Amino acid sequence: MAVLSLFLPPFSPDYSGVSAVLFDLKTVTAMHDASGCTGNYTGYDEPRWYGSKSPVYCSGLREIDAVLGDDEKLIQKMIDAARDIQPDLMALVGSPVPMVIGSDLAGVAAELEARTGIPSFGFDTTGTTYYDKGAAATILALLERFTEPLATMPGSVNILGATPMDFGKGENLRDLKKLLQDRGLFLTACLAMDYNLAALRQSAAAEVNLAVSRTGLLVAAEMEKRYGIPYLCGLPYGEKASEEYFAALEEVRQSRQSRIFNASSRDFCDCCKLSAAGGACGVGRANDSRTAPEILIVGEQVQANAIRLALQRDYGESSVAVGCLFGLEPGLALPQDKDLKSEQLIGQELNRDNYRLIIADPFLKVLLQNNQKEFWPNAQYAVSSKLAADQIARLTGSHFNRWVNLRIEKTKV
Amino acid sequence: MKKIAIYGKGGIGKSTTTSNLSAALAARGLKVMQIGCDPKADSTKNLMQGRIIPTVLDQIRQRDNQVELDHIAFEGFGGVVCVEAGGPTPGIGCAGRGIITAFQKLEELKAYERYQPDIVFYDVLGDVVCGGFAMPIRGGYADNVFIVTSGEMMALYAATNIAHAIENFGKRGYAKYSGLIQNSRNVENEDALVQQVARESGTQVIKIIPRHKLVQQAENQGMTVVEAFPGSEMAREYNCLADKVMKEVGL
Repeated sequence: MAVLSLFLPPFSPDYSGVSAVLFDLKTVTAMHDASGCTGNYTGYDEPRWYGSKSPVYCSGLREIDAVLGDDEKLIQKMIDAARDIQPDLMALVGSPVPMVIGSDLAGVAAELEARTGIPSFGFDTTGTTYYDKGAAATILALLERFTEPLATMPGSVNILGATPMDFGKGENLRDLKKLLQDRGLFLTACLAMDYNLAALRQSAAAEVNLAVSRTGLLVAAEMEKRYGIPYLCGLPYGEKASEEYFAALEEVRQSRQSRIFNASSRDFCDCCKLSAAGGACGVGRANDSRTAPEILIVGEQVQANAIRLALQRDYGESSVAVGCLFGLEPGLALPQDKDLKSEQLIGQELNRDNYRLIIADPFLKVLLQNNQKEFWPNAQYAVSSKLAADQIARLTGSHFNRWVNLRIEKTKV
Repeated sequence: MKKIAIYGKGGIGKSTTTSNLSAALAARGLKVMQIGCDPKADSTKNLMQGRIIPTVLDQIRQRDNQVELDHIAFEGFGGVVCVEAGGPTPGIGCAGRGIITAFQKLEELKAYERYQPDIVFYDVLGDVVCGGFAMPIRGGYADNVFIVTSGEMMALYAATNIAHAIENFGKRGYAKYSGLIQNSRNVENEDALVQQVARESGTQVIKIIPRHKLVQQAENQGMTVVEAFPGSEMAREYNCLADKVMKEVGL
């Protein structure tokens, strides 16, 4: 019962991550489900769905289909859709029922491709892991299929790990693209928002990959192996921190060595700054009020890290922890960071006495028992969907400073 | 690495045949891995001195999914790496789904990378009754499938069904159906009956294994014939089967 959610909705699952990556391509995407999972994706996980023409379908899986495992019926439906839409590719996306009955979606896709000649993919998503895993697996499958190694184009970058679950309608991404452009860099591909197959094919020519989420980090690590492209993982939030970000990017371009752009333990603890063993003081011991962090940022790990670094560099806040909602990536974490695997753990962490300020999706506020704590809402589509889309903070570059200054002014009032 | 699935009706001698194959190949210096895909979890016991090893699913349940490779993979005779997928408590759960979970766990723990086997045998329960039991035939798993049968009607019926499932998957570029292994039960006209089924399903009988009391005697000692009676005529039969399997899979 420890994982039961009483107040929070389920966060975006893997099949939504798959579908979001395919959304921009001319794909017939069929979710193999009874309709709930398709509705969950189109209704709550995909802000681009309304008014779009993206062909996302539900296979209409029924009890007898599950019992008989009639793959031919599914294949025929896909062939019919392909005849009408003439897609560039087709995809079958798994959900809990296919997972339980052991549907062979990769095999069905292979058969579909053999019969139609259209590149087809089967994703054995289960609905039991988060969107980032599904999104990363899909980007990697697309790269495997369409992207051959290319000669490097100097000054070119890919943005990796852009999904609506992390970036809503993409305002922060547009700001990032602008910042890149201002610095004379050009974009090869933004995977996977506002891109097409041609950009995907060109992505192997990028000089550096910019991983902007955990999804992006998973993809960047693999692209480094496949195409030898180094990556920078992080986001340029805050004026001073952004300068550091672009200096780090330049360093990656020169050295060809990948880098996680993050704070270090030494940034957050006076005693560690003086000691050779950074972080050895146990700054993560949240029950120790003398060393425990005062600010908690909850959400996607790369974005939360970027907020932390901007608070440190631009505002001198040196006592900040990150709470990860979708799993903690050890390479991105500082000792004080927490893997908040359940609503119970999220609630416990939010209510620790040491925190004076919480930055999190507004839905999480319901778990706060102490109204004395300051709460800065920063919505994430994977958590609160369209219900809080107007509270997705614009944080790239100096927008971060405006956002923080506004919050500080409000607090004073 | 060659991955080979051994199918056949329940009780027909798949595990006996597979274990003797594993033992014969291990004795030649090959690294062999045998994965039992049967909730009974007794595929590998004659490679493990009669010991029933903990299953993947039992370990997942008992250790709350905090499973390491050493909890589920055990070296038996000749260094054969033995794994039992296991299954749910009889009467509940889903055994087919259990096979999928066990396979996923082996991949997650990078079992093939760590042991680097030359040959992997999947010893699969009975008929291909559902998606889970078809898992070893799917993409990325077995390259070749052999079916163990006797001349008994139900065994031949099961063999035909399994062959049909493999043929269905053929369109997806999956495992190749490489032949029948006749585990003789001394049924009247047995060789001809099995030959006929082979012809009808477009395959061949790669080896006829005679019925012999040494098999039972070896099993009573918790061993394969290859281990217990290495100089016996029956051990030579299994070695001959190993030769033929290797030839079929191109090793």
